[in-house]
This record gives sequence, structure tokens and C-alpha cells, in this order.
Amino acid sequence: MVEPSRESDIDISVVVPVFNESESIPRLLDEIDAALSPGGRSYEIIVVDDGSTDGSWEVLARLAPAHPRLHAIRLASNRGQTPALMAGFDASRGRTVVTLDGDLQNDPADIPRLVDKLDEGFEIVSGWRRQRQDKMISRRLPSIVANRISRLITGVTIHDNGCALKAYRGQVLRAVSLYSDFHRFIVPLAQMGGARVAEVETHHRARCFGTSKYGLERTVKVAADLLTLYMVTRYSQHPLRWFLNLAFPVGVLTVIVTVWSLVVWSSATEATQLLVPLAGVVLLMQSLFAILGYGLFAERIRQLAPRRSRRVRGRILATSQGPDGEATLLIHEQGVQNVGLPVRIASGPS
Amino acid sequence: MSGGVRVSILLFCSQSAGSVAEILESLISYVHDRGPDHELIVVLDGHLVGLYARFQERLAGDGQVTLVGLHAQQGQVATIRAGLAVARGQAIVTFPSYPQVDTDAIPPILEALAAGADYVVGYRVGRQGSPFKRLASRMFNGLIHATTGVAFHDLACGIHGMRSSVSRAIPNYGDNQLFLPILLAREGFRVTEAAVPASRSEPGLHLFSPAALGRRALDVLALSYLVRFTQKPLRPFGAVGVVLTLIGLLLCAVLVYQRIFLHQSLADRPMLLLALLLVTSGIQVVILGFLGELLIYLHFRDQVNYRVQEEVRGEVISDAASNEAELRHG
Repeated sequence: MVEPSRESDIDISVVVPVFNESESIPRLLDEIDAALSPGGRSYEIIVVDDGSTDGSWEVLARLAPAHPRLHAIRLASNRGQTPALMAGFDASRGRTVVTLDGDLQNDPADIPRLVDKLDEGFEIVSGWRRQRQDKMISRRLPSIVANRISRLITGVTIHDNGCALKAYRGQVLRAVSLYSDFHRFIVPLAQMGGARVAEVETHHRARCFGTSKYGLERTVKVAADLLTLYMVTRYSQHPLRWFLNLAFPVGVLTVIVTVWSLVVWSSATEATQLLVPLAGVVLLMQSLFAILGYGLFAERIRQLAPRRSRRVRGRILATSQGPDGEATLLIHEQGVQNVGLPVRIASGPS
Repeated sequence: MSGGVRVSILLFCSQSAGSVAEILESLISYVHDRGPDHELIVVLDGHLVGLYARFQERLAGDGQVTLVGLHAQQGQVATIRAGLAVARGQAIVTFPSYPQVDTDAIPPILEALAAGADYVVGYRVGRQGSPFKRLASRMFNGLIHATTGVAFHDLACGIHGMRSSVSRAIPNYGDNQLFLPILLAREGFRVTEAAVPASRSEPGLHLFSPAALGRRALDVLALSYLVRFTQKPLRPFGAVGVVLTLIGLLLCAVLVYQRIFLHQSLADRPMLLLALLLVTSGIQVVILGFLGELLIYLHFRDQVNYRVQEEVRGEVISDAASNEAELRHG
């Protein structure tokens, strides 16, 4: 559950997952400080060291006394980007959470513009690297393809979901559960849930230090994850429907093949002419019953899912601005939930 | 503090080995030399009744040694867990009951734990084995690395160390000790290795029987299956299923084209069966992946899948922040 009390007086939490970025970290912290200290907003910098082996943690520990806003978290082992971001989100206290990559390719000077845009009334503002400074074939092309496909499947409207520089309303972000490699899908998930998403053009710089941690094979994984996302978000609450959708064409095909094999049977002269259609009927029937049976399994899996969960989760109903401040209303499995401060229930889509 | 015990040494024995009595003697004198902050726990699997009676006699009245006997034969992991349940030390070293290492292997393990590791796997240096044996060992560790993605030098080495906090999180899976570091590493624990001197008395050639080798290979397969597919089931299942289905649909299209436009007969062609088989089995493979994803999404997505080792903060954030907030709102 989201604890409103944790939304302390901090305006912005900057969450940066790092893995073997010891050379970039000092400049990164300085640039974030330079970008945020003149603005008058209070902030914290949460750097999550995802099990680095190049002394990144030692750099962070050494810099901590000089950076009063720094909150460095060291994970016990290398877990990947999604768990590292979750660790940062769980520790964050800001009303706004900003994420960026630790490799200096994002320019922290863009953060204030993102936050300003967020304050215009959005739940998420994403950066858009219009001029990307990366290799065309191995980095940009997969990204363009991935963005196209994910836009097609999820209905996301932004151009560059792969840009790590993003600003989120803290209440909304902390209500999201991420697992697997789903950090790429925060925006589609939130947008499907009714969040308003905007984008701001940001600078993108070539890599100064270190090497990229990703390659081309990532595209295949992202494609599989998109399929997962599509299935679980659409059908996790009524999985039997997915199976019935699948069973319908198989059932129709079974009927057709059965009728056809009867026709063949009536005019058959040899045994093999009968055997093939008959085997086809058996195969299709087995498949039909298997699909329906799996559908019942899926329904039981859903029924036995725990009702209480660590996080509030659901569709965003409305954001309201009242005398006591602002709040976000979520619809979730247990009804309408007020995340944050008390407000009058606004009328909205149900 | 748990009775002032700092180090628990756990001698686990799940197979009858001739040399266990000598190892026991060396460990007894080791803990006696180190003093009362060391304890020795001897755990015997259920079928070693004779050994239990002998050890009971030998260890009677020794305040630093605990003897645990399982009620039935339950395998290596269960034996280790039974010992961990009574261990009181903050650092726990599991010691093999076959001659792999001597007691001088214990300090390097403890040092690695003190350096911040949650779980330490020993690897032997200066081994006396034949080239063939070393090759077999290297192939085994390479196989583990390739299938589970976790790299260790010497997983056959039985001397491991862990913090007491980790001992409570030991997964109850499988019956082989080598599962533990791999599963714990997947859970986000800090698993490291420490070089330990190999035993001087290790027999030159100790080969696994073909049956043991087969069992071990099956263990590895089961483990890699568990480690690979439980997190993202739709990645492998979806890929295989989609490819099967697409090939099947393509074949169907070809058959229909030939039937309609080339007037070839359809009913007596086994190719039709192959096409249908590909489509129906492909769909079912995708379904199994989807069921796995559904299970994870509905039951496990809230699981915290990271483990914080340590945190460092700059100077007090909250005071400065609240002052600024007051200034702005006031």
C-alpha cells in the first residue's frame, strides 16, 4: 500500500540505476545538482548500484559527504534494470520521481523542463531523443522498430518510450508493480490505466565513458515481453475469455473438417483416403478440449490469486485538485481507492 | 547474542564414507583449539544409524559439539537444513564428509563472509587429481555456467559458508548441495567464491559411477529448467509455439492453394496431418507459456526481487528539505 506520510516535503526524487559507471558518477551527481539546485525545488538523488564490479559503490561512498542530497543504495548482486529501478522507487519520497540513465547520455539539465510539463497536469512526462547519438544499425533501428510495434500493441502515443529520462507523479509510480523486465512498459501500463502522458524533447549525448550494456538480441526479448504484456493486462482478470476466443476458430475448424471427412467417407474407395481426415478430426478435437481445459486452469489460477497486495494497483480514475492538495483516484480490484490526500470523489469514467 | 557462538561448523554426512571418522576428529580438535565461540554440528542422514550410535558415544559430554540424526534418509539438502536449524553461530561453514579439504580451508571461508558475502563457495587450489578428472570437473562447471548463467570454479567442492541470516532463507529444493549457491544467487544474495587449499589426503582418483553421473546431469537439467523458465515462461514457450504455428499455417496455405488451383487431392495427403499437428501443438505450447505468465502476474508480481546490501546517505536530507519547503509555502 502507498503510505501518504512518505510523501514528505521533497519535491523531486531523481532515481538513477547504475551498473559499472564509476567514471560517470561524479559528473552525473554534479550535473544533477547544477540542474536542480537553482530551481527552488527540494530534491533527493537516489543512486542504485546494481551490483557493480568496477568500484562504483566506492565512488558513491566517497562522494556521499559532499552531496547532501545523495541516497545511495547498493544491491547485494546484479539484478538487472527492473529490480534496480524498483529499489529506487521503493526508497523514493518525492512528489515527482524522475528516472535517468547513469551513463550521462541523458542530460540532467532537461529535468526541470520535464517537471514543469508534469505540473501542467500529466501523470507521466517522457523524454524524446529526437537527435540520437548512437549507432544506427545496432541501437537506433531496433529502438525505432520496438517503438512502432509497442505503439501498435499498447496504443502508446509517445515517440520514444526507450528514453530513460522520464518524470512520473510519485503516487502513480509507486502504485505500479514491476517484475521481469517490465521497466520498459511503465508508460504503456500507466496509459492503459488512464494516465495522461506527455513528452518533451530532450538532449541526447554520445557516450563518454564505458560501454553500452545492451545489444541487438534485446529486440527479440522485448517482442516476447510485449506479447506477455498484451496477454496479461488484457486477460488476467478474465482469462477464460482468451481461451474461448482461441477455442472458437478451432471449434469451427473441427466442425468443418468433420463434415468434410464424412463427405470423403461417403465416396471413399481406399482406406487411406479415410484415415487422414479422421486423424485430422481427432487432432483438432484433442486441441479443442485441451484449450478449454487450460482455460479452466487459468480461471482457477486467477481465483486463487491473493487479494491483498503490497501495492495499490489499478486504473487511474481522476486527479483532483482540492483545498487539501492534490490526489489521484485509482480504480482497482477492490473499488475506488484514494491514493494520497483526501479529496472529494470526482465524477469520472467508471 | 546466541550464547556467544560466533562460528558454527556443520559436518554433514548423507553418504557413508570411510574417512568421516578422521574428519570428525580433526574438526573436534579444530573447535577445541579455537575456543568456546566455535561450535561443531554433526548431521547424519537417516540411514546412517550405525554411524550415529558410534558418534553418540564419541561425542558424549562434549559441550561444543551437537549431534543431529535425521529420522529417514532425506538427502544432502535436508541434512544441511537440519544442521542449520540448530546452528547458533553468526557464520556457518558446511564441511564435507569426504576428504576434499582440511580444516585449514575454514579461515578463508570466514574471511570471505567477513568481507561482505552472504554465501561463499570454496574452490580448491593445488588439487592432486589426474588430468582426466580435472577435465571432467571443468566440463561440469562449464555446463553449469552454460545452463544456469551462474559461474563457479568448483561446484563439486563441499565447503561452503553462509551468514546466519541466509541460513533461514535456504530454499528447500532438490537434494544436492550445489543447488544452494545457484538458487541463492538468483534470489539476489551476494554469493562469492573463496580459494581454499585442497586436502592433502585426497585420493588421487575419485570418479563418479555412471549412475551418479547421470543423476547429477539430471540435477543440472532440472535446475537450469527451473532457473531459466520460471521467471519469463512466455519467452521460450512463446517463441517455440509461434514458430510451430507459423510453419503449420504456411503448410496449410500451400495445401489449400494446391487443392483449389492445381486440383491436387487433399484428403489422402499425410502432409495435411503434419500441418494440423504443427498448428495445434504450436498453439498449446503458447498456451502453456501464457499459463506460466498468468501465474507469475497474478501471484508473484508483488515479490520484492532485489536485496539491499547497504545504503549511504549524504548529510541529513529531511531537515534541509523541510526548511526549504516551509520557505516556499510560507
